[in-house]
Amino acid sequence: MAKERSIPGTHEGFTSLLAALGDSAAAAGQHYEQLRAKLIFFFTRKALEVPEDLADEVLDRIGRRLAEGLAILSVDAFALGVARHVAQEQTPIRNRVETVDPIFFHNVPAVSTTFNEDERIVYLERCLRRLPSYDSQLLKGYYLGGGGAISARKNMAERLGVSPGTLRQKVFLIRRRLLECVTARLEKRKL
Amino acid sequence: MNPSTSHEPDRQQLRDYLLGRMPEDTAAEVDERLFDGNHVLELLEEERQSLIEDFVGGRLYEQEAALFRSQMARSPELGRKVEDFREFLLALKRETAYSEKRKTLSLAFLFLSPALALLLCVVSLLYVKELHKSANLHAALSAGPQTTQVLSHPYAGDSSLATAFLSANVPRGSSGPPEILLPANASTLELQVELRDPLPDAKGWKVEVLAGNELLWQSAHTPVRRVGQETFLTVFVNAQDLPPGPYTIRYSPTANPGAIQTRLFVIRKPL
Repeated sequence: MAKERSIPGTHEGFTSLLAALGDSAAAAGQHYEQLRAKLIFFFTRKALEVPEDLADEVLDRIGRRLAEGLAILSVDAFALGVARHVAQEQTPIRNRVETVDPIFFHNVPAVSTTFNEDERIVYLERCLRRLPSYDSQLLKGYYLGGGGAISARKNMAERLGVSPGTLRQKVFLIRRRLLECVTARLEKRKL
Repeated sequence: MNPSTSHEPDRQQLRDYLLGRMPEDTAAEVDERLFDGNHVLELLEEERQSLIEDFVGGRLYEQEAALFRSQMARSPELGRKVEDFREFLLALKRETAYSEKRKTLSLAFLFLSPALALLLCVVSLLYVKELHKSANLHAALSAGPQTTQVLSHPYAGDSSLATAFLSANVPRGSSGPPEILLPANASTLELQVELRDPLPDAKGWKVEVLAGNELLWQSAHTPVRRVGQETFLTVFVNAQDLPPGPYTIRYSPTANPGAIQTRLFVIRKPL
């Protein structure tokens, strides 16, 4: 996934960063995604514009420093320091409603909006029908069973004899499979 | 909240952090823990998913919803995640409705299927019966002038009974009398003569079988036999008395000897 994204900065820097993040390509890729996610959380809670771009900026700066030969003991801890510095460079927009341009809300669908029947939803439905019955029931129980209530999911996990974390992980994996199915179908249609 | 001593952040703290409404010093401590290992990252991802679900489900307080909307406006990835979940939920609901409908139809079919199967059996039975009847009729008609079906009944030993049927419906254009192919081992010929427009009160009949003018067999009180809509006279003639050749069967109600009817037939024997 990391390779698909447009990485600002030099190729050398990116290679150095990956080398510092893991021994294998898979491990480095996973660590990269985790670090990026942490940075996005950080910039989001700082109420800064486009936290994804700022996260990439931090990763780019670290990569360049690594390419220059800087030895970094903990990339994650170092990343937090760089992130704080980048945050200070930005003009913070605090999460206050009055500071948000109302135009933004026009682009965000309302909660009760009726959804459009686009291709993606149609494919999602088809892929849902292709799921094994157990997986399908699990998804329905998890998301439609108790209105998303934590206690309902806890009860569900108890009934299934697994921990809430395991149940969550199972559901996550099913959703990922579902997403893969939808992506594959959409790709196939493009051809 | 000191990272080294404090407890794991609870759900409310995680949510406050995500929505950017946690005091800066406390948030900075969470930052430290976030970048130290992956445990807090997992907790935050889980809580963010919960936040997305609550937002899509309309379960956030207005202030929280407003903060979340402003974050979505700033973060394209967050906006996409929300939209993905919204689509997923809609698809799941639709699929559930579809499954329920299909289940109802299946149940209905389950209850209806025995009745349908029974109906099918009855229809099949009637069809087969009709088919047989049609085949018999066709055979009888096509046999017409040439031959009359003979049924052999090997009851015991060499002596056997052969049954021939003379229909009341003689096909048009028949060029000759019906032929009866008498099996070589037949000792008795059961001749069934269908009566055309029989009188309901004519129960006893006088029947004669003639070869030319020679009387071979006769019965003064032959009863009629009714099978469904059809009425028959049944006579049993010694097969030895019926060499190949033309014959006449003559019959009249006992009560009305003048109302004579005749039918011709020809006996043939295998070469």
